[in-house]
Order: sequence, then structure tokens, then C-alpha cells
Amino acid sequence: MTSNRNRLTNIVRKEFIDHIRSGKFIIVFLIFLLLSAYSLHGGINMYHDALDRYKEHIERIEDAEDTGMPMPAIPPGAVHIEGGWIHEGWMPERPSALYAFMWMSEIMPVLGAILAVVMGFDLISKERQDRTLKTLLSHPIYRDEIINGKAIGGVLVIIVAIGMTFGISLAMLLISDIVPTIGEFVNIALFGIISVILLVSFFSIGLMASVLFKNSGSSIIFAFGIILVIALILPAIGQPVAGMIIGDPPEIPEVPMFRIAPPPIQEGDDPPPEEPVFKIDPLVEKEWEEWHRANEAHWDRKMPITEAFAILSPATHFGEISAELDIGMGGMMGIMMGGGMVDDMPVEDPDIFDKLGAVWMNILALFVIPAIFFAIAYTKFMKLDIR
Amino acid sequence: MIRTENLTKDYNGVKAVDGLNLEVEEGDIFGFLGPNGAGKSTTMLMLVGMIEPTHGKCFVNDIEVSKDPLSVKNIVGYLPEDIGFYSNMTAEENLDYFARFYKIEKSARKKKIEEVLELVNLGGVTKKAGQFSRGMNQRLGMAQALINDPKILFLDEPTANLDPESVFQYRNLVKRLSDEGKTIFIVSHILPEVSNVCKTIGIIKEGKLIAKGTLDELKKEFSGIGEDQKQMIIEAFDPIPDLTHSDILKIKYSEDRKRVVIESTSDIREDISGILLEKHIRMKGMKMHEPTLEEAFLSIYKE
Repeated sequence: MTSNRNRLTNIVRKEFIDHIRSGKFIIVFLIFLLLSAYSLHGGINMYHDALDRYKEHIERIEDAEDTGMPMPAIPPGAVHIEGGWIHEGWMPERPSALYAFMWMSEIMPVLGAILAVVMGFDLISKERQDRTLKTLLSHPIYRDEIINGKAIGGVLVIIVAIGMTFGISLAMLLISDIVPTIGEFVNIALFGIISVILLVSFFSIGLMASVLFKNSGSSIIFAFGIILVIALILPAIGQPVAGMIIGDPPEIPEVPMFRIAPPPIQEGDDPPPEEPVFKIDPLVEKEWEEWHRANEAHWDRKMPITEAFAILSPATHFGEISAELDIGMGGMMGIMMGGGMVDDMPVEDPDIFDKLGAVWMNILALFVIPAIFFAIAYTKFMKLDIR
Repeated sequence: MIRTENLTKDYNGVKAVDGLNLEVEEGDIFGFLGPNGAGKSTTMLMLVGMIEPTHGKCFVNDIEVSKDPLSVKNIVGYLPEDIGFYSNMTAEENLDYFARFYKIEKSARKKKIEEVLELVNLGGVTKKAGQFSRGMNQRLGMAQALINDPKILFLDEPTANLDPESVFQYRNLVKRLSDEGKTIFIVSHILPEVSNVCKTIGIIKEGKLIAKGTLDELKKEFSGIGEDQKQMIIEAFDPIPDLTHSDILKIKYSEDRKRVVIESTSDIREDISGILLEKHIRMKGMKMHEPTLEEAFLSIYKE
């Protein structure tokens, strides 16, 4: 009798080969690769544009410092960047290599879902349809080894697919003269890892569908239906449902927060100041403070409900983590601004562990979601009637 | 070699197998007969460790199957009814995949695959299993059941998809495997197939074993003809007159008296032909009637 490891390895080996030889996998993976490369190409162009703007800002600041004059053609206390004026104290920041991955982080949940579901939707249903499951089970192997082998084989292919995608992406960066720093490289590597987990989540949904349905057609429809519900419909209805439960947010005070008042004349002012000042009425200030508190309380009550609706959405958690890694639309806001206020800038960048710590719930969820779907697939498969 | 004790399988309250007690000796070719839904295949699935019994036990080579299914699977070969193979792989690749579950060295594995493929006339076939005919699939199924050189073979409707030539080859193969000392357990509802190759036969009805014995034993027991009785059928061109003989137990004439069935204690064909000759009756034919398995089977199922 062969050992457990050998039996499992045999299944994994076959599954791995089946996937990489499968016409449907090759086609979808090529599309995935091409679109990823295209999105990266777009990101690289944006990076270069941002780099040009950065260099322009630096030159202007240096020119202003050299002449000791206010920055030319710039309103006092402000610098101009594409899209507007930035106030005094603004420090331009060199764009990050992570900028290039912005679009990839957006397409990953969509293309990844298609690729992973295509890999998983018929793993068991096809064996039942082709009657190979009975043949397989007549040999010395436990049922759990079959489903585990199929899952491991699929995950390995996902790792290879993402590895290839990121390998090509890094090569494209280097060809485009973008050399990531060690910190950026760590972020890219982590982005690759969460991409793998994201795809594994979708793969687990496909695998579950393949166990639940004997027919592969029904299985693929069910898998995409589930993804549609947990990744799009539920998060979308979360906001209005939370609104219905919690009620409307508090109304904004009608009185403005500031009023412009004539400058107070103080003793010794000669001549009296000419410019008006912003004045805050203590009563108005209190009203605004109360509104702020009520508004915060409202959102504090609303957030758990909206988050609960998105809790099973791998894409939501993937987006949150990507943003924390400075990849993706959320994380790109700072980079799009091209810098930050000197006073607000942290003395040093937050540690990667701090960043991951900030999204530990999302990381945990990204591991728990595939575990749930695998568990359903596993339990159902162990009880499957193979007559 | 194979033993079941009060073996029961319940599907949603319906007993597919109901308290089955069965024993198959080593080296036997055992035919398990019964109509569709009688519980034959379910019994076989429990014997090969693919489903667990609801109650009772089954033993293969003294191993309790539900307690150690893998050890059982290592010493048995199973040909499921309507077997399926991986359509993207050749016969050799399919067999190699299954053979890897056994502790067979690489070179021995390759040799064994070639050997069993030759045995089922699939040697040198390089096309993918997806392009196989049902007959080829069935033959490949036989090859996969033999890949581990099993002590016991379980064959579920083995001739269902075979053409006459393949059926002939299959019968020879089963006899050859039996000569090698393998125990063979065949499930079928094709009576001639079972009567052709099986040494012992068991008949199952509604999950229960209702008869078991050699072919002759079953025929004698259930055909309605006693062990020491003979049955003759006489046909003539002219009406047959009343026949008398001391050994005749029972005689039945057709309406036109041109056909008569005689049950007697001995073979009295010579005496009867003499009587008919004397009376100038032109005979069309006279034959001893051997009870068939079909008659026995139908008789059992009528009860």
C-alpha cells in the first residue's frame, strides 16, 4: 500500500497537469496575463507622468530657494500641480513604483474570479458526469485525499499563474526603468500573496459548486451566481439596509461654522488691521460639535451593518488590504496628490507589520472565506452518493 | 474468501440490501443474479469498500471491509458497471494514474500496464480514452481491475457493452484468471452469461439472498423436475395415442395430440420410439429437456 503522501501527491500531480494542459485554463489565463500586462503598462505610464510632475515641483522649489523670491507664477503660499494649487508647506514626494500596480489591483478581482472559477467549477461534477469518480474510488484511496488533492493541485496552479503574472510585471517595471525599493518590493510581494488568496477564495467557490451539482453547466452558473451575490449584490445593498435600520444621518446645522467678522481693534493697534478675520460663535461651535458627535455615532452604528454585508466578499477584503499596501485606488490617493504637508508627514514610513496589523480583520477574512467554501465542499463530497 | 453477515444498506428508509448472509469460497467464480434494483451492485459496492453498510459486516480475505477499506482495495480489482475513464488521457496514462496508488515500482508498473493492455487487446492503442467505443472502454475497465494483480475480482455487468467476439474473449479471460486461483465475483442480470462462466450462483431478491448453489443444484431445485426425474418432449406429424410405461410419472398432451411432455423416473426414449413405430406414428422429434437457469430463475421469482 502506498503512503498517504504518495496517494495525495498522485492526485495533486494529475490535477496540476490537467489544469495546465486544459484548453479553457490556457485561454482564460492568457487573457488574464494580457490584461494584467496591459493594466500594468497603463500604470507604468501614469508612474512616469507622476515622476515628471515630481521633477517639475522639485525644480520650481529649488528655483524659488535659489532666488529667494516667491515661487514664480504661483500664488503666494501655493505651488501648482496638475489639477490645482497646493498650499505652502507642501512637500512633493517621489512617486512609488507601486503606482504601476494600481489598475492591476482593480482588475484582479474580476479576472481572478473568472480564472479561478473556470479552474474549479467542474473538478468533481465532471468526474461524476464521466463516471471516473467511481473508477478512482475503487482504488486504494480515501475520499478526502481526492478532494484535498484537487484543492492543492488547483492552489498550486494559482500560485504558478500569479507567480508568472508578477514575474512578468516585475520584468516590465525593470524594462521601464522603474526599480522598486526593498519596501516597495515587499509590498508587491504581499500584493502577490493576497492575490493568490483572492483567487483561492474564488476557486473554493468553484470547487464547492462542482461538488453540489452533478452537471457542470449548473455548477458554473451557481459559482458565478454566488460570487455575484457575495461580492456585488450584498455589499451594494448593505448601505441602504443599514440606512433603513439606523435611520437618516443627523441634519447638518443650518448656521455656518464660521463667519467673517471685522478685525477686532485692540489697544495699541495703529493703524487698525485691515483684513477681516474668521470668527467662530461659541454657540454655533457647540451646535457643530454636537452634530459631529451625532454624525460619528451614526456612522459607528452604520459601519458594522454595511461591513457585515460585505464580510463574505473576497474582493472587498482584497481592496482594503491593497489600499493599506499603497496599491489600488484607496492607497493611491496620497500618490495622486503627489506629496503631503510637511507637518503632517510621518517621520518614518509605517512598518509593514503596522500596515498589516491595521487590516488584520480583512486578512483573517480572506483566509476564512475560502476555508468556509472548502469546508462545505469537503463535507458534501464525503457524503456524496457514488452509486 | 468473501463473507457477509447480516449485511444491510438503507437508503432513505428503503432497504437496498436486507440482512444478506453470503459466503464465497476461494477460487470460485460466483455469479450474483437478480433483476435491476435487487441490491446486487449495492452489495458489491460494500464489498469493495466504496460505501459503508448501514448494519452488518462484510469480510474480504478475512478483512472487515468497513474497518480497513484500503487494505481490501489493495487486494481486489473492481470493474464498475458503465465504467468511465479520463477522456484526455490514453489507456496507458489512465492505467498509470491508477497504478500509482499501489506500491508498484516504476519499471514493474510499466510492464504490468503493457501486460494487462495486451490481455484485453488494447496494446499499442494510442488514442485518448475519450475516443474509445463503449466496448473498448469496458475492456480498459477490465485492464484497470487487473492492474494490481488482485486476489479477488469484482465485475459488475462485465459483458454489458461487449460485442460477441469480446464476450468470447472475456469468458476465456475469466476462466484463465480462475485457473490462476483468483476468486471472481460477477454481478449480472444476463442469465446466459452467468451460466456460462460461473461455478456458483446466488440469487438476490429485494436485498435478500433467496437461493445459492451450483448451476445444476439451482436448476434441479427450482425447475420443478426432481433430481431423479427425466423430462422428454416428443413431437409427431400424426396425433399421438395414449402412451403407457411403468416409469412414467406424468404425461401431458397438446390439444392436437401432436406434442407430448413426459416426466419419468428414467430415460425411456427408446421404449417410447418403439411404441410409436409399432403404431405407425411418424415422429418429428424426441429430446430430453434439460432444465435451464432461466426456468429456475423465473420459478424463484414467481414464488
